[in-house]
Amino acid sequence: MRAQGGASASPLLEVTDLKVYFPIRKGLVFKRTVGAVKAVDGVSLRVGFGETVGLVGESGSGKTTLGRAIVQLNRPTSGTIVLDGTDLAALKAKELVAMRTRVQMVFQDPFSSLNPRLSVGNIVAEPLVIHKVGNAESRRSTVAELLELVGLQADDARKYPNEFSGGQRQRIGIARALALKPQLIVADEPVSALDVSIQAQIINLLVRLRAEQGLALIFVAHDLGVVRHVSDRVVVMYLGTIVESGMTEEVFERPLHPYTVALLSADPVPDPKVESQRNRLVLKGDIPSPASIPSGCRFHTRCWLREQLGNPEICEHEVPELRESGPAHSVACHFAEDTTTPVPASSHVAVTGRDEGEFDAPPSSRPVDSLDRPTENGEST
Amino acid sequence: MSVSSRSSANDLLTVENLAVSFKAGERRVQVLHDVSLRLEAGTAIGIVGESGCGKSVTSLAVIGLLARGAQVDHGSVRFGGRDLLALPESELRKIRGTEIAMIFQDPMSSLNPVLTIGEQITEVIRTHGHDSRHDARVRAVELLQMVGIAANEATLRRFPHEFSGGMRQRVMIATALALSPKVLIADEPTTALDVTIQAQVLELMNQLVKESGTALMMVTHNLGVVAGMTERVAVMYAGRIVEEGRTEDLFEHPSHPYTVGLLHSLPSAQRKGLDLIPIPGMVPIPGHEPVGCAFAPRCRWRLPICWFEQPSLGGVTSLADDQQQRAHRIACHNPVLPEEVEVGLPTRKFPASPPPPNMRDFADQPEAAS
Repeated sequence: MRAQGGASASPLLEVTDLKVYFPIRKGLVFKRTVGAVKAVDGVSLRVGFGETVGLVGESGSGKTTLGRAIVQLNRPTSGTIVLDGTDLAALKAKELVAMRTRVQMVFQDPFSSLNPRLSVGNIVAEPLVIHKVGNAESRRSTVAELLELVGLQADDARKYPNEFSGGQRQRIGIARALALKPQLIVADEPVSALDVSIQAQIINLLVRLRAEQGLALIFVAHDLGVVRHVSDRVVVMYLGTIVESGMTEEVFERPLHPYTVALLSADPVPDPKVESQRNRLVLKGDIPSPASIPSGCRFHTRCWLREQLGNPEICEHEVPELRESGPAHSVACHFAEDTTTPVPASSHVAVTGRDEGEFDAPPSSRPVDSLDRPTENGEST
Repeated sequence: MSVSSRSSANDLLTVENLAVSFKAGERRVQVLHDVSLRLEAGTAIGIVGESGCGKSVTSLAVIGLLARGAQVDHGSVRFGGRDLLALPESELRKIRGTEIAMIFQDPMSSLNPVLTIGEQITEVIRTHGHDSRHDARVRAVELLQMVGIAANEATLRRFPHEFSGGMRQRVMIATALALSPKVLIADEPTTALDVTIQAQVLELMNQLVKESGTALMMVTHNLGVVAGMTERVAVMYAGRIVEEGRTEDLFEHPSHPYTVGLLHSLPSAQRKGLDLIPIPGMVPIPGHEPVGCAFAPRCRWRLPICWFEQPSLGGVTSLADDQQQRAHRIACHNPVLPEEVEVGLPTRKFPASPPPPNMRDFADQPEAAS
């Protein structure tokens, strides 16, 4: 969509081998650390200027922790976060405060992320006050501008959060995030608490603002349809690591990691025709606890592909590296080339065909249930 | 309006003209208006709509679990030749669990945290059946295995907090299935779950409908779930059914502006890069709906009449076939034309219909921006 991709020379954000561990402590008086919840375990990620990266995965996959670490709400255990050339971990507290103006966050729950005792004007102005931007007069006019920008009215500044619906509160949260004119916004499940029709309003708002303000966006969500709609690139996480990443359409059309394939096949599509044709790939069991991560490939305990291949030993013993498997497409699986999907290649592709021509149709009209998958990187869209 | 003309011998459960109101201070606020539904054995019906549309109230009214302060004003829920609404509580209790069971949305709060899983499942079995303690435990293990939990005697001694969300929801389903009910009412059964776990739970419920002939009433806001699971769909808005029909018909030829709006609010692969078309405004607060159609303030298809007259639920006249018309009903003065469905916006010109003066409050709300 926008010019810079992840591969550009100097990205806005570069996360390298980031680890966020939460210690598990035992004992009442003499607390000992008995283990660690490895919420994020060696993640590397780039976000270009003005780029939108979608983070998907189940709960417990570490997507929220990663987002929070980028905004410095969680202290990384190790690894670096470089924002526009500055390593955040190396900064002193004061310098870090200054850096925070460049990365802001929109939270999931519009009901608990706004202080009920502050007026909307004060909520939106708070970042300006903290960072000593302007005076009371100029802040008031900035707040009015921001509220109008997100589709509210200037005199809503006098009201309190309880006077607003969920969708409107999320708009307030977005106005607050925009107050300092950040370069990057981390949006953690910004629409999942909202009703469908309100969701669409907020998504349109984010997409519009992103273009107008030249924002880069890290969009954390479990709703695959929403992620596909807004993201330039997608990163799929499982148990604290990235299992697949690539350009959005590439990943959705040709998922390579068996986990991504399962995730796409599990996502219900509002079209009875697609649903009746699909052979849903049901993963067994739950995501393992990040306090006791399986050996080798973290996904091997639930992997359908491993089962299909007769449980090769390598999956249990060797951690698969995230490797390039095509232009702008990486995957961490020993057998990614064998991911012949037993389900329609992408559940989000129109199979009805009634929309073709009207909108940008799927890249080719090959039968959706065909099993021909790119075994090498030659295939282009 | 009445469904009785269309009801057939296969109908297990028939809801007719159900109206429910809640006490709000001095006043009574009507939250359900003339809801009629029918449910056949071995099929599933989806009830969709946004929060506050009356989906959950409908399901709770059917099983007689409305909160205190709520009352059924009129209507009937016929099941096995009896009107459930007229039965005394003691009779209803015999039906609940044995013949009609319910799965609630939140698996975290619908299990008792101080009782073991085993106690909670065997309680259901022993309350209604006459099994011995031992038999009930054996049956409980069977049920857990049926829902995909590798269970044994030891599993029964575990507490809900030892289970993940998906497993708890499956324990709920196992409990609901304990007495092989004829009707299963599921209120947002997968909303709190991850997609992969959702797929497991849906698969299980689908099997149940197909194999044991259970009739399923699925209350959800997720149109994707409805598309895959149900034979019929009823779309609710502000306490009324605004569109109802066979699932394929409803998704293929949605006719009510609200249904069309919902479908266009969802991102889809075909519309990638285009703006979504959200429904402006928000769901009205019960008791503050306009006189006419409750959807009029948010509707792009509204006519002047919509402000004054409540449309009744009738066949879709744009469908050629008489039988199709009867199977697909909507409540709208100005249905969306087939060629407008794709675009998601009206393509015709119709008389501009600003809200009548006394209804300025309903005019485009701030949400309409963007």
